Amino acid sequence: MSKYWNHACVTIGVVGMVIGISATYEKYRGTDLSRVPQFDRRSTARGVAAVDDAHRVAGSHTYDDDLLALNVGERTTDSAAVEPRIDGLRIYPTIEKGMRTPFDLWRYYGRGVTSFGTPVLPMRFDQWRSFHRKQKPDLMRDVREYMNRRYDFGEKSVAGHFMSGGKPIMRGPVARLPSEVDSFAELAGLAPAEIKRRDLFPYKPLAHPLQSTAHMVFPPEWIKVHPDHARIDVDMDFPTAYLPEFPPPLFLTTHKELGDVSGGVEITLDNYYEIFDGLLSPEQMEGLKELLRPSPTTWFNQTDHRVTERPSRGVACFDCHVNGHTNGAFELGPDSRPNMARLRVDTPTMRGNFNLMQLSSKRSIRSMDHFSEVEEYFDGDPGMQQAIGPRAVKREVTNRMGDFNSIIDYPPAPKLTPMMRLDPALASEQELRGEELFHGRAKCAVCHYGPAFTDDYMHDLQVERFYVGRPEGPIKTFALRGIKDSPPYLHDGRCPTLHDTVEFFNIVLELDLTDAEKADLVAFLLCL
Amino acid sequence: MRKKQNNPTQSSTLLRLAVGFVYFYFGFLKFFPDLSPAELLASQTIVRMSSGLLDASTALWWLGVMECTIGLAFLFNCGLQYVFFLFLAHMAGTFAPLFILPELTFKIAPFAPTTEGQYIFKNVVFVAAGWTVLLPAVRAHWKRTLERIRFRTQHGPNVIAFASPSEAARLGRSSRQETRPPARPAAPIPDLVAHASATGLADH
Ligand code: HEC
Ligand code: HEC
Repeated sequence: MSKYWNHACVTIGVVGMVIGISATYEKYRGTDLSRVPQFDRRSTARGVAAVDDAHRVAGSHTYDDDLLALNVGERTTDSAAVEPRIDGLRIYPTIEKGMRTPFDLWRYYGRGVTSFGTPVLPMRFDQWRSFHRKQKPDLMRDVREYMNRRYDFGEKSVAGHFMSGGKPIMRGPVARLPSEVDSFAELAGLAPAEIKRRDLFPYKPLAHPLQSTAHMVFPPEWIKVHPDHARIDVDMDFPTAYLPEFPPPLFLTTHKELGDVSGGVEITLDNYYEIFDGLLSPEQMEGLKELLRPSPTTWFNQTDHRVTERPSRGVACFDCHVNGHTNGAFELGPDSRPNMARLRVDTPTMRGNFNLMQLSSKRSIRSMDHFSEVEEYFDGDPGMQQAIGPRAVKREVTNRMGDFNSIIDYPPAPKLTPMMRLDPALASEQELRGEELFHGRAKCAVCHYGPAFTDDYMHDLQVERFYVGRPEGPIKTFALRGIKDSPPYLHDGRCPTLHDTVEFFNIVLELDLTDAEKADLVAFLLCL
Repeated sequence: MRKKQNNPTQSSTLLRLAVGFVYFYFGFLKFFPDLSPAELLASQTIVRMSSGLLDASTALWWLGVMECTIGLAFLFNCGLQYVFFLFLAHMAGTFAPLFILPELTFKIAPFAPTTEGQYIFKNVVFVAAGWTVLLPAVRAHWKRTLERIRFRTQHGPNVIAFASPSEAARLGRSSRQETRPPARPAAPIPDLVAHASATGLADH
């Protein structure tokens, strides 16, 4: 009898705890203590009205129908478009700085404990170092395995085509198809929902391989010359053949007659004066010097809060934008929190920045001077900048950085006329067919036109239609002038070759291009 | 003397309930993402031990299942003879971060723990408590089982075994063994209690 009595008491206790914890969790979610967002049902109702309004406004413009379809889709009357889209997503795992993060971070969502960083490591520096000594070999083995699972880096090049400085251009598509489909053509024939349901999309985003610390990761060719940028925790995940050439040529709008003014070397604080004295204005000289002067960053600095073996002088703009171009270094866009929600971004070129009205993939920065002030040295966290050692540049200095930035020219494109069309006398049949497609059936020119081949807008390509993932939202239309020089493609580099990019758009824009047409398009892109 | 032994405040009952409570409580928290303060250490340890096979949220979910099972077994005092092994495995697991993530569990290994390290080290009390609560029951159970197996290999499946002479006596039998009537084939594995109640021999 007393046994049943005891069990009854314990049962009441257990049930009480279950109810208590569950009820507390409901209170806890959505508070600033919790990393689990709580969605407000009322905002859903408001959202429907807002989207309907937006549609009416857009509809009243003489706006390209294709574009409207791309931006708004058929979802405008469907409340699903404004409801939280977290189906199949998981809450970000709890991690500390330095700990491994899932490679498929796009499948997660949630909020951070705080927006604000601290310059404190979760352990002493010597522990930090030994922690990474243990973790890095496993991590890099898994990274390589993961990348090889996603891509076939066979290092086959495109015959007869080279980057502006002579590096071979890799042939694609190198993204691996899932075993269920035999060809890209078959894949592109499937409906987006089907591709999503069967998990077939080969161009899912790329996360930073170590997104808990994240920050700048330099390519091996760069590290060979600048060993102080070798990280104790993580290395570049792309093979060198699929990265831009190093060092790349530098062309100036003010000295077209000189061609590559870099003389085939990496421009540094040591040699810039010699190379440019007498060619640049004093303002531009100062700007260039500032672009070459290293300064501390969140993780490259003189404090313990660093990812280098020894204290580091920091990083200069041209350490990623080598010679005003890019070496393929990547980092995270500083524009979101928690850190795990930040998108991986690989370094875009600075060539032709003078033509761009919008800078950076998501922040829509409107001038190069402004960009020189905000850049991502401290991951968008002025508090960290204060703590670790500010990159204290005054406005007149950033303006001068902009002054030099403004004269970095595109590489030569001898087949393009002033109207940015191919010269039929110089272009091949295939290239001309590619151009035709670009402006016609393939719809590329809807977004990529003008001297830089960009519309200077941001577009939401809604790539999440094709895989289970957190929507990435609008991304700026990157310029295509000189595009052959700056693989890998898209903001995160998920398309290692131009061929992959064309396959990407063929699927995402549902273009239904034939294999021959895709080859024609690539041939055209190589002329730009 | 005997009476005192049955007093819950002096037997291991409170200990059993306490261990069960902590297991169930801390285990149940793990079903709610971001609620358990042990989330980081626990999930990182399992992810590392499984060399990435389990992701953090799956790892945490299974850990929650394991801890709640152990907790309920302690609280309801049932199945403890099996849960004992789960308990041992779990306890061994809780010490793993000391080796796998010393950077988080020690200020200076091995004598200056962090809060997390201290949280782990105090589990020796759990091991001792679990041991105290479980060992008598577990030892008796497995001793009986072993005896039964030994008995069966000696006498064949048609012979029923009693756990002890006193039990045989209690059931009104005179000896520790008796031949089953051939008409009624024995169950594949003779289960003492089930058999006793099925034949109406058990008295409650
Ligand atoms: C990690 C190496 C790295 C360093 C160092 C770096 N950048 Fe960048 N830069 C990037 C990346 C990555 C982006 C893309 C950012 C984004 O999409 O949000 C970028 C974008 C830009 C852009 C916009 C380009 C475009 O096409 O939208 C400009 C301009 C720029 N950086 C200038 C600078 C200046 C000036 C500095 C020095 C103060 C600098 N960068 C230092 C990596 C770097
Ligand atoms: C709806 C507008 C739109 C259309 C149409 C479009 N693009 Fe793009 N393009 C973008 C956007 C936006 C990006 C940047 C996407 C990203 O980084 O995630 C981009 C990026 C690219 C890139 C990579 C640029 C870089 O620096 O990494 C290439 C190459 C490209 N597009 C080629 C094409 C081709 C070829 C077509 C036609 C088949 C096409 N695009 C059609 C908007 C468009």
